[in-house]
Amino acid sequence: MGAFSHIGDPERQGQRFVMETVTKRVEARVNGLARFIANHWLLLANAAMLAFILPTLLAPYLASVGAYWPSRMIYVVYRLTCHQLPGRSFFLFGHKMAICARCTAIYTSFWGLGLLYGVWKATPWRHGHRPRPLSIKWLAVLAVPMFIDGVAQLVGLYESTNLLRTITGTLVGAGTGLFIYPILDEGFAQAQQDFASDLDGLASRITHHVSRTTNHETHPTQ
Amino acid sequence: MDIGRSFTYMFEDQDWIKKILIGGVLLFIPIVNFAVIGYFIEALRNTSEGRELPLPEWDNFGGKFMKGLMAFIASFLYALPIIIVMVVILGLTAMIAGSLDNDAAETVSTICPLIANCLVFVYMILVMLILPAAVIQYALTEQFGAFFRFGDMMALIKANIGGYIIALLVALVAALIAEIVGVIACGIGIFFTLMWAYLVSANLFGNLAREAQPATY
Repeated sequence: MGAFSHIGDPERQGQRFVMETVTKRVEARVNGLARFIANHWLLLANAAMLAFILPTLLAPYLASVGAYWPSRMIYVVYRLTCHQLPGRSFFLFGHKMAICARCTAIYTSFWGLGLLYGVWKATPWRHGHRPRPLSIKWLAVLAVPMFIDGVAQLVGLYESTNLLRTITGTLVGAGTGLFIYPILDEGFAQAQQDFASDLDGLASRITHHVSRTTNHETHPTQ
Repeated sequence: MDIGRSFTYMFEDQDWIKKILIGGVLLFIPIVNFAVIGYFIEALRNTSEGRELPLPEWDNFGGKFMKGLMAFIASFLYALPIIIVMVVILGLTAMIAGSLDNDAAETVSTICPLIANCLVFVYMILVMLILPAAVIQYALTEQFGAFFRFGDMMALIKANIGGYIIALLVALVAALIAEIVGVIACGIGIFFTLMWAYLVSANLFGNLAREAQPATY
């Protein structure tokens, strides 16, 4: 005890050291994950969209090769998002896709716009310029043809075609992309800046600490 | 933006084991577990005011229960429009199908429920995205109406949309970890790991609210 009482129990100190080390590692991992999301949000969004679209193509393929149950499971899951009526769907490998023609157009055009946005972001001549998001008003205008086509068909005025469904769906999918991607781009750019300023702050604190320690060792009387 | 700290800050509280154990036990009990939501709301508010530690005490149980109950009622009201739409669509389907010939009736009774399904799907995604902002608003003001001030919610989201999405995804990761670890811990552990996940979310959204405050309040 006495002069060494501040040192404490070595076993407890060891436990605290382990706890602190684990804590720091967890924090670093989670911060790394958050930074990854901020830096690669478009890649993640495009990958997620592709992961959503691919099974709709996989379902007819699996059905065509006799893999009945996996194919059936995909159809059941996607029924939550689409009516899947055969008369309004594209057919691949002799079987209908897991979503209708209109949904296919919406999702693929949204995904395609995400890819184009990625290409555009990678071009050297944009000089950090970010496009303005499409206004809600224009997004509504782009949705009008789909609304008219869908309602007119529902009430029996006429039977739409897959070409019409694709065109009207594409307008909505592309419009949504033009609306959402610039907003997300700006938002994640801000998050990237926040992370960068955190790193700068950390670097300056480390530099400050190191220079103080060095000064103290060189001039211990200071 | 130290998101990583959201996963570990609770362990700096001197009584963290006791507080998480109490929350975990309460999560077991239906209705009573509204108090855990109230606790989450208090933790979120404390964080937004720069007081993430110490974690809220398990006192004023009635107050916590009421806050949780308000959040539950608000969630129900959010679900209500889609319940009404479903009932109307299915009711109309039954009525229309009954008054039509066989082919038309079959078409209507096939298409309408499918459209209702799609609506539910889209609406639930929208609610999932917006509900955290609603809870933040309620935590900050403790007014029931705050759950439905969509302008304030959009302002909060717009103030830091990147941070909001990151917080949503990281909270999702925390919930996933809590479920996996909880199941590994004999299944019953999930109640305690879920309590940890609640605290992670409270800290993530509380920090988001603190950063957004100059812009929205």
